Amino acid sequence: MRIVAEHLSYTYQPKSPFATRALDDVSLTIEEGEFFGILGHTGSGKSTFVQHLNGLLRLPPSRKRGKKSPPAPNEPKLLVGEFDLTQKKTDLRALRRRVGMVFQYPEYQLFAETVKEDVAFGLKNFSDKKLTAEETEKAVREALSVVGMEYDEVAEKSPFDLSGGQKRRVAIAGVVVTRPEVLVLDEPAAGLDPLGKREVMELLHRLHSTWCKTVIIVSHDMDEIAENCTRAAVFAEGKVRFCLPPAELFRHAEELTELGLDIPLTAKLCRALERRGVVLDCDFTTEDFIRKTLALMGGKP
Amino acid sequence: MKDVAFGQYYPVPSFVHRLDPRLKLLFLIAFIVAIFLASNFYGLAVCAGVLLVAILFSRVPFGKVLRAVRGVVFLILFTAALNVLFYRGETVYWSWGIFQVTEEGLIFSAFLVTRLVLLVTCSSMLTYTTTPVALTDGLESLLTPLKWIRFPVHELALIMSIALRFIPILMDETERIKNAQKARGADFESGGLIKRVRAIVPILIPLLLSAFRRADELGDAMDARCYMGSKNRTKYKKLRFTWRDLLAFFWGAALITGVVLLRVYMGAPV
Amino acid sequence: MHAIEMKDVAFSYGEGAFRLNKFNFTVEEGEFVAVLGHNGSGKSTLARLMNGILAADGGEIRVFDTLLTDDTLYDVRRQVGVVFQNPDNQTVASIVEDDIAFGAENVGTPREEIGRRIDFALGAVGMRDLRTAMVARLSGGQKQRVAIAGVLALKPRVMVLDESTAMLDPRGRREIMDVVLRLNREEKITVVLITHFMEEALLADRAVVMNRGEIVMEGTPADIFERHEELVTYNLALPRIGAICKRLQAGGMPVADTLDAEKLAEEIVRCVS
Repeated sequence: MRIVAEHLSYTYQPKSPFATRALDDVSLTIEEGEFFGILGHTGSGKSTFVQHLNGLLRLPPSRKRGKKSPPAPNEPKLLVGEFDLTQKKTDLRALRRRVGMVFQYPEYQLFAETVKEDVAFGLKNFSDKKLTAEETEKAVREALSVVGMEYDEVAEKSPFDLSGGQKRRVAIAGVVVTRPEVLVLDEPAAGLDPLGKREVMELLHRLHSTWCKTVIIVSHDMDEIAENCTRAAVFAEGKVRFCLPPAELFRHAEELTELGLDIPLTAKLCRALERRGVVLDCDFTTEDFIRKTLALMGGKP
Repeated sequence: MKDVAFGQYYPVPSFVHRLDPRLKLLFLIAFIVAIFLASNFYGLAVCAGVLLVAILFSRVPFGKVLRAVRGVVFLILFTAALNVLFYRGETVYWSWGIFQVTEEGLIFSAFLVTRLVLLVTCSSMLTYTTTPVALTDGLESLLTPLKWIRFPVHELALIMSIALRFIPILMDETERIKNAQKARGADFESGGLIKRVRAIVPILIPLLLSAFRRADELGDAMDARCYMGSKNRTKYKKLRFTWRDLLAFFWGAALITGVVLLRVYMGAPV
Repeated sequence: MHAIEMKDVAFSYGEGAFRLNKFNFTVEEGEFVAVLGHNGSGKSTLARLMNGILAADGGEIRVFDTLLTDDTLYDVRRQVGVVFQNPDNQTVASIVEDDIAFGAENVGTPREEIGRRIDFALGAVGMRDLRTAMVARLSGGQKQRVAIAGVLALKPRVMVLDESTAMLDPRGRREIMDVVLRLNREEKITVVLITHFMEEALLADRAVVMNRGEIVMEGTPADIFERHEELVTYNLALPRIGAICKRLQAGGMPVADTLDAEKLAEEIVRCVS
């Protein structure tokens, strides 16, 4: 599912003294198959943007215009696959089934008595017919397995008895159980310790290579973006300032710093090397950095 | 973002906004008393006049003030309709079964509607011009004498203050949980009553757990900052009376006197 | 003088197994100690024991030679301030200055003095111009700075930060670390920083690693990161830069261990020229 957004704007509490413009003429295309990063500070508009992707936030109704007059050049447009979200009548249920969304700290949205029931929640909501116990169990088993958990071990447990990292994985299983084609995650690794962080990122790559064609992560961890993403968009004050592959994005160190954003460690090292006359043409993943740095030694032992 | 801490506060700098919240609370009480003391249209006219001056001085737009009335318009119309149909009087215009429309009924209904509109308007004026935080401070200060009868004034004020701090957080959280469950296909809008009540469970349970967790952490944070109840506690903020408050006070006094005089000399509306 | 001395401390949440047992730990006056450990290693229990929010089941805890007992509880709490993890769950008031005043009010500080302390605390966290702001409208980093200011208003000599940066974005984390460093250097406040961000531990004078309620490693941050194989067994990882050093060394590039980007660049240049 290709995502095309053009001229999106959004204002919270419009026409009140507290009106805040969260999105300001945002245009962005995310191709099917990408591992896409969305960067920016709290309040930069990134969360507002992703909530449009499964219709949790809707475009403001478009101005009425005569049938004959051509569409205005700046008319907002939002296409998610074949779903046209500019239309008032969109099948939101079908859309949400195919665009999964994992919110920040998703473990705080667990509610059921057992892990099994919680994971099955979305499955039951989205299926058109009543599922048999076997069908449900099969889907839940597979979802738990893809997030790296053993069905027989945790299915009957209360989700609240699990550790923090496990809770988060159960919560993710509860979203991917319907096998969405697009998976959007807001700060999937926030608050976890280094081990938990690594596990979650591995899990996302596993999902990307199996069930979810497109993965979109919202993050402010530059290293995470550099290591994992095919492209990343930088949001600031409701606008998209950059939309580039990490290898190019993090060459704009000055601009990013001006926006109050960091650059990944590898980019910092490359800059420090450049100042010392060593140019390293690296895509800012750790692997590439190590390889290219070691290559500098040439034949030397 | 929902900002209960601001309530329906309308943030403009004005004479009324700057008044001491205690005075505004007392003024509201005085005003309500005046409305109920007013026994004829002249009395209500005086009240309306005073309210009009207050609205002008507060710089809250009239549209905003009217919106508060719009919220209860059904209640007002319903009350009016009942009175029009059931009020017994001498000049009967129309009757059908137990229903009867009389001149007296129409006048009384009009009187009642005016009263209700004034009531709603004056209370919303308080919330338009005073932040809930200031209201809490004002209430605590006004209730201080009750400490003598061991009424837990400080605890009550603290609870209100914490509630003001946390209600917006919990409302945001509700929104977030609701969105998360919607993203998992939860449907809160369709189905019968039972289905809808059941649909709330996936919101309610995470919300309750979160509220308990927050309460627990807040308790620790309060402990860590040496909270020991009201014993030996000092208070940083003191509300201060200014010339504005004095001026407004005289207005209030004049209002009550006026209404009482009208009641004594002009009698009932009907 | 020891700022904090824990001797043979035992603690359990009443489920049988001890969270801490025969636990010994001292913090010197003026020191900046980082306590590292994965989630569930017992490091947050430590924070809550230090100022009596949790009561130990055995052993002794002393704060500047005052033994922590029921009678000295509030004396100890005035000396040891704790800042917690969630920026939203530590403020009681809606307005910044009202919240900072809370602690000082609790201990019966006179009004004028509370005003002075609010000035001091807001200055120390760099938020003078936000004195009358609404807490709800602040960023995460600003909320945590309000929490620090609220603790500072009690004039503590020790400040414990219990994963206070875990829920913040990088900018918020930097804000907090700047404030903490300044408090330690300029106000001479003893700091115990509990964290799982390895990068933050680099700033400390001393780091300890906890695992299953025990201190398993101790030394300067550089010492600790030197023993990286051991760190991995406690579910911890080197800071990213340390890991890169090790990878380069393993690839045959003899860079010296460093936790500073400029220094590493220099090392790489030295090795290739």
